[in-house]
Amino acid sequence: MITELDQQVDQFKRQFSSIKQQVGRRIVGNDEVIDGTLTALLAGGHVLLEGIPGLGKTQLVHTIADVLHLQFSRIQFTPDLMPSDIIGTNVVQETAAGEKILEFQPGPIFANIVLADEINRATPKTQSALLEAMQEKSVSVGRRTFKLDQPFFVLATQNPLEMEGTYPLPEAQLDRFLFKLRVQYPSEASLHEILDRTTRNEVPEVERVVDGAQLIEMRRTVRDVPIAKPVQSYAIRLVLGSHPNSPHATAMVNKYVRYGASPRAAQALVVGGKIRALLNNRLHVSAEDIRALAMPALRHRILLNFEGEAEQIDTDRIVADIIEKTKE
Amino acid sequence: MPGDPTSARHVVLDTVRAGESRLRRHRLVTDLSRAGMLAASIPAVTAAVRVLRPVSPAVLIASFLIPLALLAAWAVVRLRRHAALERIAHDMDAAAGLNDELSSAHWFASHGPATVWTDAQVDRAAVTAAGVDWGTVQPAPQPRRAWATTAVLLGLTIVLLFVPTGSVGGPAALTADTGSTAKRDAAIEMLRTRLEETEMSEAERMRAGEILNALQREGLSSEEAKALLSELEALLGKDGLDARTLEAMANALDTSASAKELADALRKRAMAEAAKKARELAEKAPGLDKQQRDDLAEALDQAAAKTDKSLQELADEMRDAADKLRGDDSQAMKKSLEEMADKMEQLAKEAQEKGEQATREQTEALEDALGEKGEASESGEKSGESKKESNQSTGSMEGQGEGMAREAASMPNPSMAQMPGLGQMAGQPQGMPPPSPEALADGRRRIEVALKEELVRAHDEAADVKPAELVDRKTERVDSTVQYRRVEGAQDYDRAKAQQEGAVPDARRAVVKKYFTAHGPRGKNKKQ
Repeated sequence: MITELDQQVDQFKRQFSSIKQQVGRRIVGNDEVIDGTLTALLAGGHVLLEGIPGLGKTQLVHTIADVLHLQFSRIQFTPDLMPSDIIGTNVVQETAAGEKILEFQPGPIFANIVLADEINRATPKTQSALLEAMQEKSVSVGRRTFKLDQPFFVLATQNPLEMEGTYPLPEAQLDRFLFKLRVQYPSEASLHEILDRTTRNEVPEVERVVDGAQLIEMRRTVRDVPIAKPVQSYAIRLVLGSHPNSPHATAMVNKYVRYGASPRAAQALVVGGKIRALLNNRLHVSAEDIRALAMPALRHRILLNFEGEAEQIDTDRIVADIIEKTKE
Repeated sequence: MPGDPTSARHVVLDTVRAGESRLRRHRLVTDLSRAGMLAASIPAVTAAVRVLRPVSPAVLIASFLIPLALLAAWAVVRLRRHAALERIAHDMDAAAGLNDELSSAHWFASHGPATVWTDAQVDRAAVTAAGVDWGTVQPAPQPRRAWATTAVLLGLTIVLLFVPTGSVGGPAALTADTGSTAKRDAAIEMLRTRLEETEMSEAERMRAGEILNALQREGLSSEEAKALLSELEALLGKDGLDARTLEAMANALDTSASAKELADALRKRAMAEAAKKARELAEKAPGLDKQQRDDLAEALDQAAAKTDKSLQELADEMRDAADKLRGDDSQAMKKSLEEMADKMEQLAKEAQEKGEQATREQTEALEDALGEKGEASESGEKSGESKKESNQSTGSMEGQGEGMAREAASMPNPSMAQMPGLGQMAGQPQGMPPPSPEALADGRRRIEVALKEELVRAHDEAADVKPAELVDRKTERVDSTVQYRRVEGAQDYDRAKAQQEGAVPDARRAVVKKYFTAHGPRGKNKKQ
């Protein structure tokens, strides 16, 4: 029995590393972003990528879709984008008998991996259409509800520089992203590598190493990993620590935070921790796993108060403070 | 045995338990080393004190045994206090870099539920636990410095115990001190013996015993010692006669109705009173009838027979009086009874002098011993003594002017406390000379002056107006003398400041912009 389990863990690790290896053929550096994206994918969550244009966010999503042998679609969010442009609409079709019927034409959301590029450029109404689909994993058009194919993974991007003419995502909708990952500018060595790969005739090819079914199997494996109560308690204390005036809150949280992270943050920590445990060849989640995922899981779930906004406090600083002050 | 979940669970649980036990021992060693250092310092200090001045063996032994007993009790309590196993497992994980493997396994093993995954995890942890390196996970504490200090302290104690008392720090004073202590003890012992020999009531005996105990205690002031000694002298010095003999004589005299009062006086050992009663008896003896005289004569004979050698002369006088009572010569019987009274008076005087002399000698010896002791301690504690005197002078203040005296005592210059009319007025401390009349007069004047000032002030306030008039009189209009001054409003100031160009700090510009963007129409704001 235990041998089978070991094999299962080995297979998980092998599949994960092969996905990472294939993605690494096209994407240079940003290992944390790749790991975070794949973790969110395996955890069944969605990811919000933040970074300046040209850092390979779209390329990353594209590559993941290729490697996973999944249907991929991209939606470029603009202010005039309508909800029907995302979820689809009923169009009038003429049958062979000349009869006219309304037929549903699925939108780009009907894919396994959806790239919502510059999500903060669309109106809140359009954003809501996507975010509802993300949560419910289904789309309602008229009186009909369409279940989205599994795995369903949304990768949204937003540009932190251009704030003019944007509609920042409300906190409730930000909460629906499992992780918020920050794409860093590549180092000099990475830039060399990027130029070497992209300025030649040969385009790096990737192989499809995992399909949708295998991905779902991997997700099941993740959920089996046990977590001891003390470790789970640590994750909860981290989340509660982000709430001002809670017994676990730090002085910084009390000073700068208006609302803390939701229970979804604790779910993100635990599920993410399970994946990290498997990748480290462990059958249990450790506090270190939770700590490692606290930043991407909590940073977008902390809402600053006026003082925090005025002093331009970065939520990363607050999360770092919570991690530092919360005892295991 | 890896693969067997039950066995693996036991391995994990046992390892954590072993870790807890080990940790308890380590903590005990660490804490003992520190506490031992403290405990060893107590006998060391006692031994050092013993070198300077005599310390009773009981104190010396207690200084060894009490810290030792406390240490042992504390060690038992510490050993019985168990730490939380989960915390131990976590600490072991942290020490060995096991990434919560042991603590998770411990949790799964003790709380369940048992699944394939938890069993596998526990199994893996059991393998890790079996090969745990205790030296890394829980290194044994080595408080070398603390042990060394303890050893040095114990060594020092032993060395100090071999040093004879008085070999350091002024042998002359020490000899005087030890000598006076020995003298005092000897004098008190003598007084105790005397107390046992002396006949007195139980209450008096108890009081005398208390006084002797008090005199044997350390730290008695000379005034207190003197008071106690004089009380003791009074208690012990009032008797110099054998009470049993006197009792027997009194019983014998009781047989005669005429000698009842004399018998009572003897029973009370009040020889002077007995003499007085004997003289009264001499006066009324010629008036007694034959039978009464015979009874009295018989009683006197019997009483004389009961006396011991020390009262032989009195016995002779009593026998002589008895003979004369049996005869008819009233002058002779009166004279013989008066002679008996004279003898009793003489005996009373002698006995009192004798008793007083013995008591005085013993109390003087004790007084000397106490005085020497005081001097010996004075030589080393001059400043302490002067402080004590100062306290006495202020502490015994009472009555009128006490507050003033306290104020004076708390003044920076202590001599102020002795100012005429302040310290003296408050009450004279024991042993201090009485205040001079001038000082008393001056003090009285000061108090009077203060009281007069108060009276004058009270008089001004009342302004010769009766309370009824104060209530009934009309309200008077009084104009304010404060000049009007215009006070600038805070709003004007803020508005002026806000209108200054560039007043918004750079760091807050983004927030201000965000605020207006959120509240105003986007386009309108943009045009502006």
